[in-house]
Amino acid sequence: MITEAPPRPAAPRMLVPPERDRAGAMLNVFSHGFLVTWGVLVTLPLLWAVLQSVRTDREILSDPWGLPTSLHWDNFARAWTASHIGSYFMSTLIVVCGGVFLTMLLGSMAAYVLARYPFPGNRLIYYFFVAGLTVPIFLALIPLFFVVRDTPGIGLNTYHGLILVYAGYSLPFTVFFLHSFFRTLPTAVAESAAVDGAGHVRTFFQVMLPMAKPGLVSVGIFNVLGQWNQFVLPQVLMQPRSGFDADRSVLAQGLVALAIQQGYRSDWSALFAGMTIAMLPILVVYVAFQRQVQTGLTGATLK
Amino acid sequence: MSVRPMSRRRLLGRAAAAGVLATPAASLLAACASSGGGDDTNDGGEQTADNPFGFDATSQVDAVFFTGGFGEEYPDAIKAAFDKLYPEAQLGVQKTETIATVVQPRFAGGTPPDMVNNSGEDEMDLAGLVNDGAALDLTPLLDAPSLDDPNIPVRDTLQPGTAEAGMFGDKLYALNYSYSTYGIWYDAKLFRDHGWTPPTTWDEFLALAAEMQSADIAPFIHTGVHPWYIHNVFMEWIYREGGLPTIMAIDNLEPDAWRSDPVMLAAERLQELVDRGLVYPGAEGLDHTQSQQVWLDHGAGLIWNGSWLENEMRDTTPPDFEMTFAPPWAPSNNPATAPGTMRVGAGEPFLVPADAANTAGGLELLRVMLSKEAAGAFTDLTTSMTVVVGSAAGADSTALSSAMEAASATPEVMDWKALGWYGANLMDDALLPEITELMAGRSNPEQLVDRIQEAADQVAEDDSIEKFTRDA
Amino acid sequence: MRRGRYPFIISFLALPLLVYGLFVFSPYLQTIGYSFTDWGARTPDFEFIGIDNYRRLAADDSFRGAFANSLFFFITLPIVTIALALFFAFMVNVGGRGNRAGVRGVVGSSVYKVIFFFPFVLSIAIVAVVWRNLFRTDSGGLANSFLMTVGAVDRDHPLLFLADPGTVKWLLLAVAVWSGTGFFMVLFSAAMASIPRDLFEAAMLDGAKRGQQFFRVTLPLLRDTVSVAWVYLGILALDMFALVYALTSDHGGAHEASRVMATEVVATGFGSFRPGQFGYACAMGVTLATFTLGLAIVQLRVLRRERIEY
Repeated sequence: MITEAPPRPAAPRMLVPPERDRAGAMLNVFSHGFLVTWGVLVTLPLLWAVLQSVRTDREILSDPWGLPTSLHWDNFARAWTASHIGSYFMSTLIVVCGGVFLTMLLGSMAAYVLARYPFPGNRLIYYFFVAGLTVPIFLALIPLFFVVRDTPGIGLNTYHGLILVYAGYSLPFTVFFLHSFFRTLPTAVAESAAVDGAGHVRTFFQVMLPMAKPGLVSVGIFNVLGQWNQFVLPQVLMQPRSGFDADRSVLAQGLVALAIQQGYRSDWSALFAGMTIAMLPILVVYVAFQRQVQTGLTGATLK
Repeated sequence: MSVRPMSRRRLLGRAAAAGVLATPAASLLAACASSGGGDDTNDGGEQTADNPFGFDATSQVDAVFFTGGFGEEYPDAIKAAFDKLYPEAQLGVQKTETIATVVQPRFAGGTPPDMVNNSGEDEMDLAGLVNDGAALDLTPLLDAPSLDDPNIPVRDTLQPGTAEAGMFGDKLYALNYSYSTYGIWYDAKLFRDHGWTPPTTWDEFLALAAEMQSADIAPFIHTGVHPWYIHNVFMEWIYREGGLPTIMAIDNLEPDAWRSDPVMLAAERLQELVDRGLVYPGAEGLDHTQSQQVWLDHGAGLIWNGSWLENEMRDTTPPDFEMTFAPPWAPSNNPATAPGTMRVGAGEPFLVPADAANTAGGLELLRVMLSKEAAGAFTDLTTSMTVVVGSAAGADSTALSSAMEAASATPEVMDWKALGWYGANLMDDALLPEITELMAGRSNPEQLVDRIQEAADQVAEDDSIEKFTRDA
Repeated sequence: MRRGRYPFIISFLALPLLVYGLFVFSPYLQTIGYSFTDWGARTPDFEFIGIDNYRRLAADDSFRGAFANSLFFFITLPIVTIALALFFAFMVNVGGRGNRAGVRGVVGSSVYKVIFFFPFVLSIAIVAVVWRNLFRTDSGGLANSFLMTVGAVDRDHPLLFLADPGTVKWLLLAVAVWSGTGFFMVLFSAAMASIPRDLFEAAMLDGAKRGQQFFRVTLPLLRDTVSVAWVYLGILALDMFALVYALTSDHGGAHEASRVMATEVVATGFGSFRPGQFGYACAMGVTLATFTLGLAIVQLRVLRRERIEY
């Protein structure tokens, strides 16, 4: 008599037949329940802020959680002009564009060299950059104020000054992230480029950078998010130097000033309109690029 | 008699995150701070009767205004008046709600503005500036001929007590511009509809409170987030009960001055407000605009405030609300002072930095502000009185007229100095935190009194703190 | 070795190092320097006083209170955030019905990921205004009015939330968790997604239920990511400056319950002009930074382990 184990099917038709997956069904409902609850917790406060932007001051102050009775779009106009949100918006645009560009340029240059060129002191320089991640920014504020003020060619309340400072403080994160990314790029391509006679610089710009695009986009988006909402640095460095100096405040700084101002003057509706204006671009950018952000995060986990 | 100006009010939290910067220290590294800029004080040209400070009419003047409760428009009106007089000068007006954040760095860097309106939560420490010699002595301003009538010095065009409010020793360092009344505010229409009258004694208050409660209106409201408001109630009660002698003992740092009966009574009355549930529920966590709005919406009947209130809540005041002023009531039924005793005085300090590039310009700007035209424009825009006598004619609101009426009818003007002279120690460290705890129900009158007395004793014993006294 | 290596390295590192050194490193260094002085931030004069500031710090009660609060956040914030983030990531990746292809996430997982990320993207001014209104201490606040409607709170005694020393820390924690969970959820979700399906299928074939899968398969494979998240959250917890500053009425000052080290530094350095305060604030700051750095290093060492290859 031959005994042998009954043959297993080569590939099961289904791992878990749906009609028996009660546990799965319950978990599904359970999951949805929790996720929806958290989703509501997240969106409700934001929705509330946006709703307030079309109400009157009186309504907002007396009945903060009521619904708008009519739509007061003039709040937006007032926020844009009288409350200077328009000018803050433009200032922020200038500073973030310049800042992110400079950050990505310097950060990728440094990260590339540190990741792919061994030399004495390489590790030290890498840690030098990364250490900046752990130190809170306000420690540096007062001396930074004087540094910016006294460095020739820069000075306070200048766009290029703030851009340089933003780049400086974004370098730790950027270098940290891009370093691991550059590490994972294959050496074969670089070597074949060398064989073709490309110098280091050309290799970097024409070969390695394009290959690193996913990482660059992710880090770039993170930098945009971070620099858009930056408050402390502009608060210290972007105050007008006199009655004749232009107001180059950025959005976060302007919003806080507006929040303080409404503490004196109850112009809540302009504050919320201003907040909505400030929120929207960043949400749009995030939604548009969220896939890249997630890819970037995946990359971070595969060190 | 030496006095220190009371800051107009403290609203939101103190110094913004990175606002208050110091005068520079010597370098540690090459890119460090450098010490302050040169002494380019522009003493200007010749001084004549028309031009008492030798102001150069073609020069630049750089002024910073606090645009909090008084709004953003009045600096423009002042600029208009100045530009009309001096078309060839360039007056730069910078507006901000956070003075120290904006101006302190300029002091630190040696390029202060020519005139600063030092007010609001984020105001600079005036006593500190005076001690460092950073504020200009404004006595020449008082002695100068006034813009409206060159035969009269500025000094004589001002409300009594204006100069004293800004003096340290015998020099004037801050010109206080607004003339505010402080006390209790209510809706005259609401009171009329219910047949209520503002109280003058404690029993009257209790009776009124009971009626308010049955009408489902909380008798009293304050802002727990800004204990500066309720501390005024406390001090007013002390004065109302004990009169000038009690306050003078406090101001002169006499031993156990804060343990006197009137002080104890005032503290106990605060406790009573809390214990009897006479305070609007949740007031401890509301800020000033929130509590003021509740009061406007008849959530509460009485509130303590100053005459900037109307302008501050202008956009959200219900149309039939008749904002009316009443002097504070007494914490007992037979106080030492008569009903109607109240605090009225100059507030809203303006100063000229001693190291400004154009001090003559700063002084001249102040002189222009003290003209009837500029002062009248201020009152029109803010419905607040200025210190310039006769500039508020034709003002049209129940708030302003009831306040002015009460001010002119007052039998005695209240004032206290110690909290201004020794603000950091007495107010920030002791009175404000303790009164917050008391009103939140987490403390008791004895603890409040003990803590303030302790702070006062520390000040008295500390030789590094300059002491002031008053005789009257 | 390729030619021109070192000139290339130097030229590429020069500008980043210059910008970083000038604007980041040098100010930090100066702060360390000032911490050994008695600079009072009102006059240009100061003197070196050695470690006096640090001695004073060790005896300072209010700093100790702030230290205790910071420690509270250091312990609670990572635990709560990571637990929630893992939970949601699991739901999103694995919580759906099983089907032919094996396990999958709930429907609309990409939508969830987008929405949950929102708070991370907002400016602190917005977060502060929204939450301060939600926690308004009278019936005008959503939280209070909701609780009053369901009868949990008496109309005459509304909850004081952020103004109550007993509850303010927990609320700050809640807002911090609200802000950060989405980011970490997306992070963990991405990490989970990179775990090959076969592992899950093999586990299911072996009869593992979902819970067992999570603890025996997923979690160990996520260990690296979770530990990095833990360190980063620890750093955030020791900071907490923006939240405490924006949400508490006195910026974390009068109520000892809500002071953290970060706000102490700023309040000391920028809030008063008494002699010697600024150098003292610098000493506080340096202590905080050292502490943060030290903890991060320790954590990384403890959590380091063999990487699992798969």
